[in-house]
Amino acid sequence: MLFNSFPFLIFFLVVTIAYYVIPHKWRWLLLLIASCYFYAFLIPAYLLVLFLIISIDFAAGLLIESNQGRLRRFYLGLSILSNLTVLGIFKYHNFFVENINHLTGLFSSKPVSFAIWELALPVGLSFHTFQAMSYTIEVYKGKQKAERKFGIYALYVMFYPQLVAGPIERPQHLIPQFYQIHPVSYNGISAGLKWMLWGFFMKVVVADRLGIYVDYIFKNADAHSRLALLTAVFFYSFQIYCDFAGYSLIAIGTAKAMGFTLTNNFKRPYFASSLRNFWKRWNISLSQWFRDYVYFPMGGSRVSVSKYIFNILVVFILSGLWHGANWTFILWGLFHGLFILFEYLKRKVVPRLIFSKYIGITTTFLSVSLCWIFFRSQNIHEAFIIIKRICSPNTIQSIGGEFDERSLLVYSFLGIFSIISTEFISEFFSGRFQLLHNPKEWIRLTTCIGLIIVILLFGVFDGSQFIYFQF
Amino acid sequence: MNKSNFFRKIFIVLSVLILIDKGLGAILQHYYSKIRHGEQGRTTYIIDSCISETIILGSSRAAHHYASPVISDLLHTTTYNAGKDKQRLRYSLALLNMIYRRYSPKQIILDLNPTAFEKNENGLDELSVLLPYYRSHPEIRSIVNERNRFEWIKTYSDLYRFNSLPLKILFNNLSSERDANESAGYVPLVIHKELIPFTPDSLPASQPIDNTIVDCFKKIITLVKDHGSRLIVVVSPIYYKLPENLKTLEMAKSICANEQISFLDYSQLRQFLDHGPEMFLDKGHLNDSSAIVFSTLLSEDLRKLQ
Repeated sequence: MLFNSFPFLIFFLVVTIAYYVIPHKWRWLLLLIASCYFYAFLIPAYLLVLFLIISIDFAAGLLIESNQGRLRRFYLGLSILSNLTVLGIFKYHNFFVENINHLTGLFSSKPVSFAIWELALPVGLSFHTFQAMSYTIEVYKGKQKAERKFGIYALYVMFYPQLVAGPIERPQHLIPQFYQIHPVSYNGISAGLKWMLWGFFMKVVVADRLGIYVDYIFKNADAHSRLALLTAVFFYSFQIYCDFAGYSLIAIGTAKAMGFTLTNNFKRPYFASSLRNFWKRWNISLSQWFRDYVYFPMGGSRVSVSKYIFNILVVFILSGLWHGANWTFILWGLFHGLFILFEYLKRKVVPRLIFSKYIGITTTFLSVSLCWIFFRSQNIHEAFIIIKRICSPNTIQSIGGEFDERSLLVYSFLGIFSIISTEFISEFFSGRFQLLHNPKEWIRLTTCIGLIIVILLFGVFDGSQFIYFQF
Repeated sequence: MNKSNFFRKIFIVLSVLILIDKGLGAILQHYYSKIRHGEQGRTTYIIDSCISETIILGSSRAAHHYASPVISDLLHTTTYNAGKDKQRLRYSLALLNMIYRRYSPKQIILDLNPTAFEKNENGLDELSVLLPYYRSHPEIRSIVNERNRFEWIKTYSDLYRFNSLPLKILFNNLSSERDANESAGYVPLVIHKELIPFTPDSLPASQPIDNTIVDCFKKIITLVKDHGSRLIVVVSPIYYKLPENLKTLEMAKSICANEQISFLDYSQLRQFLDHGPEMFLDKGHLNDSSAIVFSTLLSEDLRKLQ
């Protein structure tokens, strides 16, 4: 089920009301059934894949806790291997097979041809496998007790607000909340609804509107002018942010309405003054996952320079690969890693300048936007065509080109302006000039009404998927 | 916040929303109906005012290929081109329903896209252009409701019906562009820049047939017959190489033959293809001067049919 669909609004209302009506002891069951229904709306058969992962990790958690020494490590390894196998089968098999077939074709007259599997990727597979892995790792580390109730553990992996696109929650943060009694809190419901409203605005008014132009330009990139391509890249930077942050806010709001607190996944990432800072503000739960489970175990930054460079590149290439089985994502990760290393070297050589924060914000945004070209392109060739066309002067300098919906461009720029101005206020005037959380009731209510009207008038209601669902 | 305060706020938000939805919706409806040019102006004109004897229906290929003034002159009739960019057969059916509510044209020319019956990735989104007419024209509701299961609920909101339109309504009301009736609906494609050369590729891989679209085609035939108009199904020139057994054309030919409807296929006419791409603006569309040549040719054939 998509958050930006009418059935979801009905589903949300029914589940939230039912959640508060039924006794506490049955609430976990309601949420589990609701989560299954939510997921089954997309591809029902993949519930089986999900339950396979859940069963393995549930058993692994119990075995890790009840054993000592090598056996603990063995069961952790088995759990991680199982999760990665599921990911490998559904997400990476074809990528590796295609590359092996291609490589053998280059070096042999009789190339090996492994079969490509026609498997649809289960929605949000990377999110829930990573969440499941964080459980067994935390149990292994002794920071989380193994969950005894299968239903509660299943709910930890499947909790519908964050099931398909995160935030990737740690067990010690989410599991105890399923045991807590959540009395009806009208403040909580009100806060949740406001988060959802802003999330819907980001998704259907800004992201999906920008997506129309971005799709149009990227579909036939070599036929458009430098200005049109630059505009599309600029739009995509905001499209992907509003799409993903919009999803996260709806998820956080949905959970909040039932009394649950989820991790805030974004913190105004385009106001980051460095790439390093960007990753503390963008997809925070995933960044922390890689930091805690990959980067730190490799030694982090407390190692030699060459090892540090190696660690950074490995983490970012893996992060790219996590997003998708395509060289474009690997290059996207690699470039992020290289930019971070460049910043690391620059800090050692160049002294801090005045206005360095504002220069940093600009250069970070430009670097991130450049990387998004790889993220958005279908293949590396397409990405380099776009970069080449952006860098080479040409005669036609029109934003629209053949694009005949000029009013859409106006809406797009207005949408971006509203996001930048709101985040600018939050970043630099923290606590002041807030609209949705203003102390004055009439301002809060007017803002809510205004947002609903803007969504009705300018939202895109074509039921488009969230970009991060494919991961 | 206590329970009564919470529900008081919900009540306030909903009440004000309904008031604004109805008030602003009425304003948008008023100014929308005043638009006399552009795509919206053409659509409103054909629905509310047009009394032409011949009506041309179809997608962008209809809008840009049929020079209605030329057809009017040669056939000594009045012609209006109601073709619309990005639209398919469902839109034509809805438009026809609205036209017949007011009057019965003598002749309907339906331009058929060679892939018209194939599944379309855009689904039914294109029908959103009919939302402003949803309330005033109940005959199109069942067609618009096909967009999705909950469309009928969404259309209770007047603002939703004018989704994405406020700027167009504003600009078109302020603009001094020519009237929708001036060129009888024909939208010429004039070459205004150097074209990127293109070659006559084969059509992209065909999609499965969408039976609901085939039904739509059959409904158009029935509707036109019921109202005593004459229907001519035309496939206008295209720069793609079409395979001989293209499913849409085979099916359309067979349906037209069964229903005794004239079917004229100009899609691969050498007269247009032999000149290379110079007669086309792109692989799917004739340029203005070629559209006039095509309209003349079609008019002569229509005269022979009469």
